[in-house]
Amino acid sequence: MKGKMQFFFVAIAMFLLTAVSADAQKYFTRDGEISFFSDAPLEKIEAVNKKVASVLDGETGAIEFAVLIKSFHFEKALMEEHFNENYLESGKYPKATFTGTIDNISAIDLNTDGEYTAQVSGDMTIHGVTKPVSTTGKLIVSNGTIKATSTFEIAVADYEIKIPKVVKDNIAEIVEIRVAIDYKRLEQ
Amino acid sequence: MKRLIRIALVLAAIGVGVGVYMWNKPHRNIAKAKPARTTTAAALVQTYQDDERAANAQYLGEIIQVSGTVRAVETSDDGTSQILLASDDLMASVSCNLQADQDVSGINPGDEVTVKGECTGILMDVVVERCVLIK
Repeated sequence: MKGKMQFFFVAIAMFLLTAVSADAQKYFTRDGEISFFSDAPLEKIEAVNKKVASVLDGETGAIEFAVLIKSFHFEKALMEEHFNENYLESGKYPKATFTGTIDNISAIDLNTDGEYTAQVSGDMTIHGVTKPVSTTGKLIVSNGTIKATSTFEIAVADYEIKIPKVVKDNIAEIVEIRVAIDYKRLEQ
Repeated sequence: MKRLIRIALVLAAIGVGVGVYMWNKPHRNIAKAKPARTTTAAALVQTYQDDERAANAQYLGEIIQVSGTVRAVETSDDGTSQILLASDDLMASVSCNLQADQDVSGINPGDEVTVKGECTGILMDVVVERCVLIK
């Protein structure tokens, strides 16, 4: 069985290759950045992932993200180990994904340089659990490239990630997620 | 009684020692690690495209050594570089993120290289992290 995301990317790729409308510009990256911050009374934890894949459809506003859990890197090896083995169970759930839309895409002109606020909503899947998420992001368009950034919070418990009581002062219940993507035009 | 206290102190010291060691445990030394598997970029991508779950069972989280033809070399703003190794599929590569101390100045598209790193799975590309150049 092929993985779902694998199928998704193949499907997107086929769609892109066969897209008839020349105006429907797509943007993508394979090395976007997502980091998260946990600010608990005893400890601040930060991890960065620089291998984020994302596709944005400039016409429909459809937007997709996928990350590999094992590509999140921590300063401390022990934290990275606990994150993978105890909390996110990356051996069992190697990916996290977001599938959604920029709801106000009609008000955003990606062909005109400028700064836009995007209302984003969709479904986030982490640790095998899917939850609706909505947030805002900033799009900075210049010369055919788009810099997209967003900051939002998620509750660890929403994704059935269990934090043992002994470390409850070390790991925050709400973590902050920061997204920074440099989209490139997909040449057709 | 004194002896008990002494034993307790020694045990506590060992406990603290182990704790400090664990806390400061370094990341796996990939340069020195023996690869769990050795493969080519084309075979690795093919294995992932055929059956992602089975491929993850073999490669996910493992230190692997991968050989292939360089499709592209990129250096990010933070100074780290990545090398894309070609597969038979134009849309999919093996994306190798190099450790900060690795020098890619002599590497160009078309070169044959071998890298060693930790496989973290597949998105569009199969991703191998914390890579060191073998040749």
